[in-house]
Amino acid sequence: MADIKTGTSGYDYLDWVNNFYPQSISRKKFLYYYSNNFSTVELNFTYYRLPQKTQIETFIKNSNPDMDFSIKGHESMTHRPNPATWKTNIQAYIQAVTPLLQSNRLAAVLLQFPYRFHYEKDNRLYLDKLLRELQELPLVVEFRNPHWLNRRTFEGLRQREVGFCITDAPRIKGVPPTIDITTSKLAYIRFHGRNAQNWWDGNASSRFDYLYSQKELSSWISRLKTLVKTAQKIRIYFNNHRKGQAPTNAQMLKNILEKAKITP
Amino acid sequence: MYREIIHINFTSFMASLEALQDNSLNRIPFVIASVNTPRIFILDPSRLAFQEGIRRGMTLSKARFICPDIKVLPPNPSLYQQAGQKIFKLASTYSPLVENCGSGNIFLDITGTRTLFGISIDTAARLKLEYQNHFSLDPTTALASNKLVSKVATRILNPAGFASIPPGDEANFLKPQKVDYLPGVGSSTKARLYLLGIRYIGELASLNQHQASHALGNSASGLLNRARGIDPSPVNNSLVRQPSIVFSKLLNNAHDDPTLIKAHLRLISIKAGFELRKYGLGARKFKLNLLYSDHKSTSRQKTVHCNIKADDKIFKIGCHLFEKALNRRISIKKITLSLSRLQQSKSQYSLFKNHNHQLKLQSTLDHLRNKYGIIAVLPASTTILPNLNNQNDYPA
Repeated sequence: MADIKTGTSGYDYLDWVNNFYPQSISRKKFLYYYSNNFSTVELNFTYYRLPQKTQIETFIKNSNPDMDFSIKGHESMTHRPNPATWKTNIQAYIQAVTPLLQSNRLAAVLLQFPYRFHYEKDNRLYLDKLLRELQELPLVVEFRNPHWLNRRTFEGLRQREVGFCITDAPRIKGVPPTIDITTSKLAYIRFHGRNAQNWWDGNASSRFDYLYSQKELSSWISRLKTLVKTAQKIRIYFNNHRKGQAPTNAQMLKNILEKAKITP
Repeated sequence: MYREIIHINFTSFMASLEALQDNSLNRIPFVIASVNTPRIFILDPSRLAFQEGIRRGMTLSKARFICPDIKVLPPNPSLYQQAGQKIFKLASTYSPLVENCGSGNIFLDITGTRTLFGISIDTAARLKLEYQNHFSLDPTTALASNKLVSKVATRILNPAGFASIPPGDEANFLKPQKVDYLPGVGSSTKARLYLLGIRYIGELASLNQHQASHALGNSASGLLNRARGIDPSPVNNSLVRQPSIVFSKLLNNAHDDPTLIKAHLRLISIKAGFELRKYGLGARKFKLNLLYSDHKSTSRQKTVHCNIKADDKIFKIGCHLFEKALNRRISIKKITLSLSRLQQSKSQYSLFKNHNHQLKLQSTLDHLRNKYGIIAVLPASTTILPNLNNQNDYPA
């Protein structure tokens, strides 16, 4: 049976107070409280700034030992690679996440590529180079450009044992197709919400303002049943973080999976 | 308004059904193949056999070269037909528009069912769950705005998975896929496209009409539309519209004896004619498809000017098409006769005395068959057929 864990994308949101965190808890205790409710979390801050080793050690110390972490790749790897600092940044990144790797609490490193990262020869070569540099880490790739979603890419990821990020998002033009496929032992799923109205017109916050219904999440049972056949580990993260909707949905899905006996 | 089409594809359909009958098959690679033929071709590999590199249409000797200990099972047509019917029945609870394409392939048009079943992507996933729960089968499922794109999606996902292509992004989705996945691109078209340096659907879609016509001839227009994700074809439900009457015969042991195949064709013609006359119809278009044991097929068709409804005439056309279609020296696995362009058949009364004895004979035969069953009266040429008493051997 696959090891399935459900959590959220980020945990440190002030608008979760009273929705998820009790009023009485200080911000420093958020992670500990979170880790008592969920056994995995996706850290997004690592996209904006390179993580420090001490920072990561603090995460390990301040959370329940059962909890593991998925962390986003730095923007210098995926969005703004700078040839002058690229290699140094990657080495610094690997060094910083080593404590997670050593303590067996690193679920995945998520490399999220923007729409402008087109399916072109130069980009394919770049991706190959990046994956080779990071090969000691458990990697997952999320493509925002739909042209990457083809068999050649899937086979390439399979050969390199790199996971493919499955997404749940509104079914509207311009949003990459949803494709449930496993390319490594790890299946990685991100729920972005289905706010079709605000997806293109809203801001970063209103785009993810969506609460999944029980019916919507229950429909994932069949899809997860297929994924558990090929993946040994499944990590599911809710990115609809506004007003504490992500932890509400993560808990909802946890209950659904327990009822459907998909969890170990 | 865009359409919502689900394609359900049960990969390794026959092999999966066999594995459900015998759990021990889940642990070993095996194939379905008719072993009583001179050259044995794989009809269906199991998932484990597929992972080993064994494919449909491959010779058994090649499969044994890849996997020496591979188990071979004979086909069980009645099991597959029954399962196919059950699968179709379940899909019909989600939509009145369901098209059964055979071999575990189904299209559903769920446009406008949101109030009943919810968002289309969830409906597709729930249908998948129903198949998992009721049949212990896990179909590859894809949702798109037309049949073409949903089919390409399941082809990419095979052997398992789920996909949803947003409406309006059909061409974008197809662009990076290999032309091999595009329906209508067979081995000869593929060879031609590869020769022209066209390997991806997007490259084909970027040709203009003039270039495409030069490269691909008459089929250019259709292929170009498909490459651009355009497919207005409806989900054909035989219950709603009866566009054709189709009868087929899956041969238990693939045959290469034309006399025996013609005897099967004769019986199929009788069944088809009986069905036509039951509804007072006549047919103007006839199509015969021969599926060979290596899973390649040939078909020939003929359109006539007047309505045909008599068994003898249907059989005569069937034989003509059979002679034309039979162009390979490989055993035939399945014969399919389709009758379309159906019209109400009203014969004109003769001004003089009616001498049409043939019509009278046909009418009497129909009366007898209606009362005692289709095989109550048969031409002598069909007596060479095995299991003739089993009427269910010839389902519609």
